[in-house]
Amino acid sequence: MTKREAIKKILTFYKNDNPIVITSCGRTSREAWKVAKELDMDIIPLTGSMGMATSLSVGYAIANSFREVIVIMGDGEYLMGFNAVLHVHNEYINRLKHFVLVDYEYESTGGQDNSWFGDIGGMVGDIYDNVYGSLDNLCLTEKDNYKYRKVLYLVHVETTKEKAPRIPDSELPKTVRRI
Amino acid sequence: MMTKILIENGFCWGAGVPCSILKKEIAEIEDSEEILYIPAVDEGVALGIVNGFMLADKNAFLLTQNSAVGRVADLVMSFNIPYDFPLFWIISMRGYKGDTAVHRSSYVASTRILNSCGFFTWSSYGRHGKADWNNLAEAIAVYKGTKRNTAFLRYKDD
Repeated sequence: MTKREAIKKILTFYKNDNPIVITSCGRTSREAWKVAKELDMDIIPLTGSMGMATSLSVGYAIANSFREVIVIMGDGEYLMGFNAVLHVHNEYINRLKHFVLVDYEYESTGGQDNSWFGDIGGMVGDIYDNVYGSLDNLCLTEKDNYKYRKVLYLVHVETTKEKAPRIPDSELPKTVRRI
Repeated sequence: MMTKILIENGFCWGAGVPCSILKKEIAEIEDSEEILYIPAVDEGVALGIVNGFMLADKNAFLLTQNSAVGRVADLVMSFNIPYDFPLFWIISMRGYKGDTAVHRSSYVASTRILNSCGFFTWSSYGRHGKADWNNLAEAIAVYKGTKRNTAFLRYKDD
């Protein structure tokens, strides 16, 4: 599964819940922005601020506990913002689905290795209500969606040579607004 | 007093990290039932949480020492400025009027970074070297009126 395919599957599944989608910088945001635009969904595509996607989604989820928060990021972003993962445990967070697309590298900057190792899903298991690790076939179900408040999905993705879409600067003020 | 002014001005959401200069104020905020304050694991996470609050349309404040300024400047430059999410930042100023060398260099650098990032800065200093909390109310008024990044600099009382 490529990043684009994974993102499309996730956003299509959640579209009817009217979630807010927060994505990390690099290819993840670029691909997600295009898919969200096609599906007419609210998205905050970070184009910088590496490591902030988790804390940004935590803040939003605490302040708006009635809305589904979908945060999608690469494994490099998850590691850079790893401190913030502790705050997912916050009691005010009701609906947070955290998708980490794992390819073991910083794809957007040329494929340098990142520091992902071992059973990271197991390490953070106490923080989430449920963790789906090592998913080669991303399977989303309605049951999980309502049963668990905070879920981490680790999704294996393949890297691709295909060029990622570019988010025009002019799109950001329109796309990124208080929602 | 700081807590009262924040609440009166609708700032009921905040995140930050600890500081000895602000220990009394942080204790008040944590005791307050009107403010939801997140003691964050680090300064960058605190800023991310505050930005998340603002994304949900809440009046939110960030509370850190000035040593955080260098640490989170990139997030301010890559999110708060281009995405137009002006920040209200309460900063305790270490390194002013005698402190360790570490804090003195941080003081000089942090004031320059705030200026470079276009922050309006307001000092807590009032008469007799004590904090004048009316200055905080003024800083909030400027922040709300201009929608610009604003920092309230809390100096240690003489």
